Amino acid sequence: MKFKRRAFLKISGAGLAFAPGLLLDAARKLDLAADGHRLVVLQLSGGNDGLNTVVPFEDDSYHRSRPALAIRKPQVLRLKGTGEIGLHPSMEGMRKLHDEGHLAIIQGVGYPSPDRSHFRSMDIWHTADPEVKDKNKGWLGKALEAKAASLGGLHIGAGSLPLALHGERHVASIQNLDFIELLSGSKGRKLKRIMRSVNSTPRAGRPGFVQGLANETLDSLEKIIEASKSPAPVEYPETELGRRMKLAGQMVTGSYPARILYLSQGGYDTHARQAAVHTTLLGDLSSSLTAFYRHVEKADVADRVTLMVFSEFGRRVKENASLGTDHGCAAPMFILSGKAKGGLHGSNPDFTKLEGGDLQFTTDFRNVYATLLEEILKIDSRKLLGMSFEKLPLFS
Amino acid sequence: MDEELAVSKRLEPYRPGKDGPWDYSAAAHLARRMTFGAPRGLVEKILAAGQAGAPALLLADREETPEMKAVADSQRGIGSTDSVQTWWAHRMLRGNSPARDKLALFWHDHFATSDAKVNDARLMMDQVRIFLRDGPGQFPSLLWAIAKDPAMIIWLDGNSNRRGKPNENFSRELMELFSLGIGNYTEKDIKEAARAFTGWHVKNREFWFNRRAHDTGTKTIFGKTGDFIGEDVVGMCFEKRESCEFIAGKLFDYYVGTPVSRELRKALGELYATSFRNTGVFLAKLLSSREFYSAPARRAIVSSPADFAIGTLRTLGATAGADRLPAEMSRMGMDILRPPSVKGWQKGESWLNSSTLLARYRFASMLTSDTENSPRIPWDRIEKGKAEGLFNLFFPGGLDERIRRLVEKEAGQDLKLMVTAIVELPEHQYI
Repeated sequence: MKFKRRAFLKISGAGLAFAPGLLLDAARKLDLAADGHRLVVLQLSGGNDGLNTVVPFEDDSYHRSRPALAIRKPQVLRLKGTGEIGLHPSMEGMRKLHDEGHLAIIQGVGYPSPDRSHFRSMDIWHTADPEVKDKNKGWLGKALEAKAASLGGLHIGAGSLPLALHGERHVASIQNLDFIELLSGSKGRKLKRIMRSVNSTPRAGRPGFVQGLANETLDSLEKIIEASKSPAPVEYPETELGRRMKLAGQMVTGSYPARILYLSQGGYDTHARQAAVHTTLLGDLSSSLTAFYRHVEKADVADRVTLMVFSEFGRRVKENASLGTDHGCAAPMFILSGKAKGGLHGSNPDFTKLEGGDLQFTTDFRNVYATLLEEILKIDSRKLLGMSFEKLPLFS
Repeated sequence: MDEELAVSKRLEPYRPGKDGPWDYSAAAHLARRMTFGAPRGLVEKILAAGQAGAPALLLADREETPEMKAVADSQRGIGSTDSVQTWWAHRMLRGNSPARDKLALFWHDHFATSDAKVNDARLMMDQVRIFLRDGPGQFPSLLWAIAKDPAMIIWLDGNSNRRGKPNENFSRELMELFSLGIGNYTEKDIKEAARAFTGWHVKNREFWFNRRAHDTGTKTIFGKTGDFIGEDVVGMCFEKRESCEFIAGKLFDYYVGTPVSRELRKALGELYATSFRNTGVFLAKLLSSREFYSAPARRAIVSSPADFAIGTLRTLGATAGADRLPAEMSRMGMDILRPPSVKGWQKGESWLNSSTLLARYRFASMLTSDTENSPRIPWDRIEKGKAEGLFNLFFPGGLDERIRRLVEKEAGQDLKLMVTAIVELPEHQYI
């Protein structure tokens, strides 16, 4: 079908001039059999409580600060290779992935002069700039620009496109596969024809934005439909995150030509009665991630997929009076990949060095970004991040 | 009036004849911005009222129609999120004060509270009622009402804000998002203000001042020291001059949508202050200004899902089952009563991505399908007006001739198909 290559052209060209020969080359490169390493970013929205996720169970200060919320020693899931840090009891799947050597945990990630506003802090992570000088471009959007010919992005989720993906190029966004129905049958074909037709005349100014988007949308949908036929031989949880991770798994194993995928899981703003909610969220996270990993493992591409998990901040060390926790600072990040160097990275929480009741960061998140940009996406991180950040030994 | 006007002149009243015409297209512009869509009857009413009087006329306090009262009662009786969403969609579509609904939607986004956490649709309905009632009034009254609104208190953890154990959630958002904007307060102000709101609780679904949980101690906020209570803090927030620029700037983005320079922002704050912080008075001036009717302001705003879905139906004169509208709008990225966060929805071009655009196409295609649930559109009236009438209805300011010819070619004699094509046009995604 003639769409096959066309989708590529659109996704990579974004209406800019391009050389067709180069693009066909890029298309070949995107075949997972070659080096088309995918980066999947999962955002935990609301500020995940790092201390109850990756638990410093041997530290008395932890238990003292959280008389009601601390995870008791016997409940903590022990991690191979460490005697003092473990995982929340609902994270059995991730514990196993860790012990198999696929899950890297980076402790104490944050940035200088932390901001406790959800929105500001999220913007900082999305733009990779503590000053948020340019609110129009995200770090992944810039990555897509940096390698215009060979990278594409995909957002799986409801709502607006995350700032991280903003840039010169359109990034497709889908919630689910409902649209397939819309575009099939005689009515669907008519609809497609109208879409194509009304967007065929070049426009200047504002409507030009919608026109570009419309054309890209149709192009990427054809590809998504194709990739979604790829089987998912594992069971994902029947949750929103589970369904989205499944779609991400299919897009990766079905060779959808996006090198960067973005998903999020909400609900982490646990100011009150945290324990039950947090258990549900982390259980969902752990099962969804595990299913995703087994999925790509079965498809034999686990070492060409890297999943990064982050949240805009951790929470205060001390629990509050509502059996919850308030906005804090540094927190752990996860890297899941067949190529990952599993285990703990960075420094464990130091309760003797709190600043205003918060953990201080020991690893700048931009060191993690730099590592992913260089090793996974093969992009000059210094140029993209505006300064040089040392790479971390996260991959083998 | 294409020349760059000095900022002070831009907010002066629009003078028909001198600055531009007062015609159907100008009146439709006001209809699209102040209500949803541009139904012919409404546009003609605006045209007759004149540019100076129309905004106040649209925002006037009208008694609810019996039909709307009945819908409100029955949907409240059901009391689910769906039913309350349906009530509001119904009001927007068929109510007699769409301008109030449009403004209420602004405040719903501004004080974004989600039933996902409040989990009490009747309290959510009460909050929307506050927006409908006080939305065009004085901002201080609105802020006061919202600070004590049970849904808001549940949403921002008021009940866990107690003496000795303050919860900062509400005081942070009060300053950051509701009244001042980032940079106009300190972390310390937030912490101290939280103490003033200790004991502002909800009991039996009503505001309750829990004296025993209230911190009566001395607090220092914005450099002033005293044994402040919550009412004082609300007052201190809106009395700060920054609140005028903050609120006026947001209203400007919502209604006018041209770029705002620092100078213009200052002038808007000034205008809000001299309007006695009364939103209706401010809007009456802003929406009859030269800036509002300037060429760059026309079709400058990406339609929200409410503008798109409800506006399209109203423009067509459709009477839809409003029951489906909330779900359709949710697919387009706006789940009313369930904003994504306390910051509200991301607006402008963020409304549009491949997923939400498809939802708009789905809607466009549903408009003309003959299923039981599809909206009832007065096709005979539209047939009478022919293609000419349709284009004038949707684009009274004109449409690129090439595109118009294309749509006519695509649809042929099929006016229904033409409606779908028009609704899908990139040009129709702007109001």
